[in-house]
Amino acid sequence: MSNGLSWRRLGKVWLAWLSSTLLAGFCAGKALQAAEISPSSTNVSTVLTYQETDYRVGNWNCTLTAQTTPFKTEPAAATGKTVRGLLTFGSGSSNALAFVWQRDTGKLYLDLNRNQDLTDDAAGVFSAEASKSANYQFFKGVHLPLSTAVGQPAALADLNFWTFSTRTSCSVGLRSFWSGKVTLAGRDWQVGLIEDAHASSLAGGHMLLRPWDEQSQPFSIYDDAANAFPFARQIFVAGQAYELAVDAPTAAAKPSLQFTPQSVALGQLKIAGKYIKRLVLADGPYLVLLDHPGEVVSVPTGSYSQLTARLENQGMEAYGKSSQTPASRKVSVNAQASAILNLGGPLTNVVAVTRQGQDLRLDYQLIGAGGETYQLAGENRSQPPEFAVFQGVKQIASGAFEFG
Amino acid sequence: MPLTAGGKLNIVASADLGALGTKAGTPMVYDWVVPGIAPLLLPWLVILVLLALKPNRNAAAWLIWLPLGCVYGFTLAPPVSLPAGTNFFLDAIAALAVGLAAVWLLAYSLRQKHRLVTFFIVLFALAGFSGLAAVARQGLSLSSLGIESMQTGILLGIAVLVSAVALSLSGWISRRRYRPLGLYLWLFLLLLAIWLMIALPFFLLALATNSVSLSWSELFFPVMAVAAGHFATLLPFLVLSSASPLFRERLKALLQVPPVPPPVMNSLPEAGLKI
Repeated sequence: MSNGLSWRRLGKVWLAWLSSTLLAGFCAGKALQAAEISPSSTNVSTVLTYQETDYRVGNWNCTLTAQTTPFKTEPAAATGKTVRGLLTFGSGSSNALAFVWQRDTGKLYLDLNRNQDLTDDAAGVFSAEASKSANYQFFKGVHLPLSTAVGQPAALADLNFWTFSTRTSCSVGLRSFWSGKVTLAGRDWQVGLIEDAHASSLAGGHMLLRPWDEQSQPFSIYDDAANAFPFARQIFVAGQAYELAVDAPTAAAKPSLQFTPQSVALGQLKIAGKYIKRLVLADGPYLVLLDHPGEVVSVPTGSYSQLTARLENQGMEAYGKSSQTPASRKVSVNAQASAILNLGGPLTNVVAVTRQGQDLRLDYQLIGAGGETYQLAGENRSQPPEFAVFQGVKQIASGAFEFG
Repeated sequence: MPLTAGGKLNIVASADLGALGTKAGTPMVYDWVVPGIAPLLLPWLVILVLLALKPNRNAAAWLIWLPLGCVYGFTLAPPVSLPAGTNFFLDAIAALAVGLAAVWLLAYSLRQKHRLVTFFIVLFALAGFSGLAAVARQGLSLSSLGIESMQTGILLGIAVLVSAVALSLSGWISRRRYRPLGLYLWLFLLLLAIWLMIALPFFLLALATNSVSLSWSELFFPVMAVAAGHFATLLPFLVLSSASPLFRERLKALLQVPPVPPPVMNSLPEAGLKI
């Protein structure tokens, strides 16, 4: 009896163990599935079209090689100093463009058809904008006929010429990029590629990715690191991981950008700061873009060392200065435990005080919850931040900070 | 900052952040020690002490204030406004002037038998007094030195070395005969050559590593400007040495120029007076 009971009991225990093991295995499988995101079934692709802007989206380096020998045919000589030579955009000499800059009359002649005749380019004559200072001149709206990664459409640019000592230099403010529209996770987005004259393909430049309803707003690869960033092949946006590919264009076809969904392991990230409109985690396995993230978000596991945020609250915006992110600020996300990211609002006005000999140096900083620095969007420089010095309760000095 | 406001200071930054944060920032507490007047006076006190030394106890020695005041006045109110961030040039010039004044006052004791020994003694004296003047301008606090102070220090160190080398070489060139105008010219040429030799390796390195083309004028014009500024700092002291017999001898001592032998008195012909 006792033996029979014990065998039966043993059988029940075995059954219970087997069931619980199977159940645990099933649950673990479910849990694993929850920590991983499956790719959606369809790829998303968009054709990019050339778009010009009335604001600067980036800068190109331009090498100016001056020469004293006149070109085959030049415009009539003007009074004052004339600088002539070649402008080279990017690393290839094939994009060199002959120019004549008549400094005192504020005229620039470009050899757009590259025949060394600077008198037969009707669209290549420009007058300096606003100031006709002899040392610095600005020529707006120049269509540069360059051979770039996407064939040879012109790039729209503003050219700055200046002379320092005996040397003349030129810089290029780019005002064109390639733009398209994609729908990801049911939402429309504007995607853009900003060419780099030094890069051999469009993927060597910068990328723009922002909600479609913001498409009319100006952006720049320098001031708006949360919207425009160096192109990344692995991107995580709208809760989905994608691999990006830029289709190699031909002379006739427009470039296109393809989003291929990826499967990726996710971990949790707790965000301590507030008011985040967009958070960018870069220098990790994926470029992660999080729009209006909640307190806890899921992101691909890995280590991210460049963190940038754009904040917004009741119409006031501020963007993080990624270049000033301390090297120690890094976040590692894994599947086992939640990582904590102390970044975002509220913002605090801070003054850094250092003594320099007989002087007290005051430096203003706008810092976020984790000590990261920000700058207000659309900052009014006529109303700079102010400071006040108190000894006890008595104010003994005050003033305004100077930009610089 | 008022000089009398020492002690714990609360410094608050404020800016309108809208709904992103409060306008008034977190107060920063700083324990401000009032800069003493003593550091500012120290270079002048040093010159006064040197004037109290026995060989300098005469009215002519007090003329040293003229070149020193001239250079200091230039640094306080330069005729051309320098670009922002280049004020360290003025600090270096002012400190070098104090060093030159001290060396001019001590020249009688700096001269040694061997020219090389004199060079090193002049170099150390110039470096010591100039360095003291530079640190005094920073409130005698090495811990509070900023980037501009480092720039001043580096520039001053090079200027001291260039001054000592140029003075020594110009003395060697003038060893047979001392002529003030010739000395001025040689000093300027030597300053130019030494500054050029210092700048040239950096320029060549930039040429080798920089893809941007550099013209030689970008080397010569800045070097010419620095050498001219350096000569202009020395010039008031040289002029004083030309005008004052006391300082002429001091300069000759620095340059190791042999002293002029006293004129040989020919013996008077014997009077052929016969009685």
